[in-house]
Amino acid sequence: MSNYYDIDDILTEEEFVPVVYQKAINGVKIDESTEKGYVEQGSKTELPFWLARELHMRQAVSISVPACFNQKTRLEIQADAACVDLRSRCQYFYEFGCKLAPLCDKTIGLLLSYAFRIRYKEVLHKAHSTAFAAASKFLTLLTKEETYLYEAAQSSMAAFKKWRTGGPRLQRASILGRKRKPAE
Amino acid sequence: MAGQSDSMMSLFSPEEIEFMAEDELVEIVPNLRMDSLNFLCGDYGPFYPQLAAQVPLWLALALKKRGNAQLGLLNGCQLVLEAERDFHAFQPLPFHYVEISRLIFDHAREDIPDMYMVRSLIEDIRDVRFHKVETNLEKFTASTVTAQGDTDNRDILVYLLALANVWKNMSAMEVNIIRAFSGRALQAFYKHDNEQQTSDTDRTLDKQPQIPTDRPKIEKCISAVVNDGPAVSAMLIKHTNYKLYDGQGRGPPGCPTSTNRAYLLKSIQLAWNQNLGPGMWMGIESILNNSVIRSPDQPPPPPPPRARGKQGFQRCSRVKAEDQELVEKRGLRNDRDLSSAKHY
Repeated sequence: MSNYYDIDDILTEEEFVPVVYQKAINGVKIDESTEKGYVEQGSKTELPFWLARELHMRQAVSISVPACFNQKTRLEIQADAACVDLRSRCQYFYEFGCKLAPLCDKTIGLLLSYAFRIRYKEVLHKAHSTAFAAASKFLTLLTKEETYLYEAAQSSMAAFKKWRTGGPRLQRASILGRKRKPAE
Repeated sequence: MAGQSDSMMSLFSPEEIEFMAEDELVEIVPNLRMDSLNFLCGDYGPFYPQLAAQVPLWLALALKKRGNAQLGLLNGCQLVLEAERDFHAFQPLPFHYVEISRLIFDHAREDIPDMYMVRSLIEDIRDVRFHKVETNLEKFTASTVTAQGDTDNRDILVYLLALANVWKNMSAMEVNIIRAFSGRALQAFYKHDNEQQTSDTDRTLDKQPQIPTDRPKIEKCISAVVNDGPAVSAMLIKHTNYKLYDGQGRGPPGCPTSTNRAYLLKSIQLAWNQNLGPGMWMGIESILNNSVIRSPDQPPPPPPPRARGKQGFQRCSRVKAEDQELVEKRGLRNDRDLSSAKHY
């Protein structure tokens, strides 16, 4: 439970997944507009992942593949992974996929590692060479994890460049800059 | 402190790397007579006019600023650049060449013949090398992932060594630039690869009951290696280029470097055998800590305190600050000495 307080981990589990109820459940409303106070067997809805997982463990629901891992996305990733806008599909594409893979579709794992391998190269080239302004368009395609990766590279490169071009060698304490009150 | 890195990250800022580079020994030609200086980090001197002496870079620069010494220096940048362009691997350069060259260009530019030429050559070398770093980063995913493929215990050693081989002769600053990035990337690669593998084992589970016994241990271990992968391998390589003895003094003095390297690997393997999993990492740490590591031409122990991690760095910086104070005091006295020397 090392990442129990990790905000990204929490947000990942907030993602919705489509589920199908395997049992009829009393006292639950999927939809506020319905009159019925229970859920029938076989009805479909979307639940946040943390809830769906717990219910799945009790065999109350079965999880189906969410939209961000559907066939269309897969084809796009196979065509050119680097240009797919993963951020708009799911900000936590990789983490979510990792959590989801054992529960619904094992092939997600393959998809993730394939996508990451291709996209990693793109991030690598852009992060160490391009100026920030030029890369901003590219940045909008990245998921959270890739953005962290990009920022890590960018910041250490920026720190190095700053060091190389120099700048003040001695830093002045802020208190020294103040003017004294003129003595009357 | 000025230029200190973010305390939350376990990374060094370029300023800190520069600080560590100041401990490298350089040759100076003093133009004054001075008794030997006894510092916490070692004894240097005595100094005689026109006789070359070995001192740490920070001391050399301090003397240079006072006009008391000349730096006797590196040449052959052209050759290195050509070699760097021609060969695929990194050429052996001083571990801190980026920082040292910068410090010298800043403070002792008149000591270098055709300074502008040398400066542009070093810039070129750095660019060529960084290009290599990028191509390596592109490749290391493929190689490391296959090395990680089987989570057999021994393979982690193989993995570590594979990393060390690819990244041989990298310099401190180059490692530092890619450190955060490569750490994160490797972690992600490992995660996805492992994910895939668990699903594979799930499938094969029906055929043969295969129990992943100490998977968490291994995972933790790999993540430790992965966290400082290139940095660690660079460190390993750097240390093994020195003479290395183990704690019991079994390493014969004066044995060639290759034997020492084999020796280090053997020790890692032993540590690995003795306590599986996270213990291995501690094992490497303790080997590097306990063994007496010194460069061939240095006098025997006490070894200078090497900066190891954040804590070691802080300790070192304290030691150095005290030494610098000593120089200041000493310097004041030496002014008087100098004036009397002039009369003489």
